[in-house]
Amino acid sequence: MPSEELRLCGLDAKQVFGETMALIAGRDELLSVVVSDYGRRLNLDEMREILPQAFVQVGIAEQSQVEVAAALANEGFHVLAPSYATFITSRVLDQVRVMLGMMESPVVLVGLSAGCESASLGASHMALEDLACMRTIPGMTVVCPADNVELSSILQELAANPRPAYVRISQYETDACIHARGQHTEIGKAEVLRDTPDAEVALLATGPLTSEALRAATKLTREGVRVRVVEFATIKPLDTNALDALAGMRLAVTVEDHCINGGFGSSVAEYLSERDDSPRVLRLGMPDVYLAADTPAKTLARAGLDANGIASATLARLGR
Amino acid sequence: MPVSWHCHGSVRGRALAATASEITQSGRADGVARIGAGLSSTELALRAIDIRRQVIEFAHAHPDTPFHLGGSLSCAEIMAVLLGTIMHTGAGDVPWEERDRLVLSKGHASLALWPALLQAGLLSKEDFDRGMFGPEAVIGKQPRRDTSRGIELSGGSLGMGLGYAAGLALAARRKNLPSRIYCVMGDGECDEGSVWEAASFAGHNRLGSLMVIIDANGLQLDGPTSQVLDSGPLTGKFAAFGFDVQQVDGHDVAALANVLTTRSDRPLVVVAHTVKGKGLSFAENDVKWHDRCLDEDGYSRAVAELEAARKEVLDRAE
Ligand SMILES: Cc1ncc(C[n+]2csc(CCOP(=O)(O)OP(=O)(O)O)c2C)c(N)n1
Ligand SMILES: [Mg+2]
Repeated sequence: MPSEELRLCGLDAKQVFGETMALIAGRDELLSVVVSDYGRRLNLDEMREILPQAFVQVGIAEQSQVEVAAALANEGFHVLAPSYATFITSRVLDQVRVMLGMMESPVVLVGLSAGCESASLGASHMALEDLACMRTIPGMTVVCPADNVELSSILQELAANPRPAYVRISQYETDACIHARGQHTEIGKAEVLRDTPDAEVALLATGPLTSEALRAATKLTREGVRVRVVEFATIKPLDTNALDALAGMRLAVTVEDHCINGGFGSSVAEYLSERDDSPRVLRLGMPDVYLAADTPAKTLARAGLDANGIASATLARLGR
Repeated sequence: MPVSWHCHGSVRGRALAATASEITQSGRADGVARIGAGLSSTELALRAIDIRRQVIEFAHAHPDTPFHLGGSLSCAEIMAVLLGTIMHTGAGDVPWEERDRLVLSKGHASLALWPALLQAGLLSKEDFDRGMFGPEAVIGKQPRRDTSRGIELSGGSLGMGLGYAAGLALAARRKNLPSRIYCVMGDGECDEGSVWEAASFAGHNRLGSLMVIIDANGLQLDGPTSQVLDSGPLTGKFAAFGFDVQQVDGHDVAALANVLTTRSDRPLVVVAHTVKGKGLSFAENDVKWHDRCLDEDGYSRAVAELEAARKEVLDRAE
């Protein structure tokens, strides 16, 4: 029998979203999931059986989705609003500023098929600026789970203690189950996944590419590099303690399936650049262009975001 | 890892444009009444079937990729009529600057746009041969703006086409161009608030060169449009915004062509009643075929059904 963690990791993240909503519906009658013509694929039938009022359909109308969700949240409901990651962030950015930012409405926005997951649909469906948009809103919590175990635990935590938040979901064929032993991720805390005494290089990863960073670390270790791998499931608030702990190291490499500008790597660089004893920073991410449609794997490889790309960029920066 | 863009158990890389040459040659002179300066209704009906055939060829060439088959198949006649007889595409003796523009607001129906642009000579077989993915591709699951090939709007994000089309109509007015602007939208797409911001603008400015065709197939992603968000008939709403309103059977090429030749000083909306998945009996009116992979069995059935439909059109013409 595979463990519950391995079972979760073997599922499509949208299935896990639906299962988690059903779980929450069983114990929290304030749950509300506001969808914009993207409910069928989220496996919400079980949740709707348990708590029919939880399901709110606004049609293909993401601005209305955020407005309705904010009002429900401010009236005490525990609200999640899922949609394609581009549409629930950049398309509704002003609604998010006013409703979640200025009014601090405790809505959990959920971005589906983020990063390159929908790369075959082309640039309009690749969410590569969503982190940049969301992390510049004051007061937002921004989370990128690395696998489905973490996704489910984060959704449960945010539904129980709602706040203005963005949960970014992307998933690739090569993802590993990083939390197979069921660690509970604490929002705001980075997690050291692998360490070496006197580590000289830190690979700092967020989201599903964390598993590529771990594979890259194995390659780097073989090359004699002393590596630490840290997963940042939370991008905002940033775990600055974990960054302070890099003092004296040679190099910090950030890894994300988001544009090189404005995302996780930028936030790490912003923090480290103001400290005296910081390592140098190498940001790995998607290039600052709108990309052609292709498979997720090819798109990521072209951007150097597979294990080989991460390892060779790191070695090059070290001058080896 | 099961991931949504992926369909399992299939092979990649079959020839993309198996019927491309058939498509370009399908304009036959068959003595049936011609519509305007363009093709006869029989020829247009055959072109619509060729479009459907190419739609399924795309899906067959990439059996592990889900494609938006339902909404591409429902607008085959709309595309055939627009590019086959209604539009001055700039390919003939109409100066390029004076060409009519087609804005495909429901960009996910691009599979129907590509064969129609090929029929009109705006895309080439070579463009098809470059495939649908990667930096070399011209065509794909969503259009990318490329006006030299008749692609006016980068698609994928719904609800943006009408405002863009209205802007093109305004530009044509200011430049004194005779160009007309055609905008194809989905019925679900009309949920978007931006559609109605644009409708206000077009009505207020009396953009008479703007012709909107709504592919009213009654379904969207989650289910029937009437269940997802029912805010009353589109006809009354567009009329209230200052549009002339017409309704037609969106699979009747003659009726479509007729209604699209009307002229007025107000923008026109044509609510074209269609069947999502039209032409594939197993896909018609079934929300599962909004986007889906086509397996070998489905492909064979589709080919047979489309061949039968072609025969029927030819028999009727005799
Ligand atoms: C802004 C935006 N929101 C959501 C989507 C996801 N989506 C793609 S197609 C679709 C349904 C469209 O329905 P409709 O307009 O009726 O098109 P058709 O039935 O012709 O396929 C949705 C919700 C999108 N592409 N863009
Ligand atoms: Mg529809």
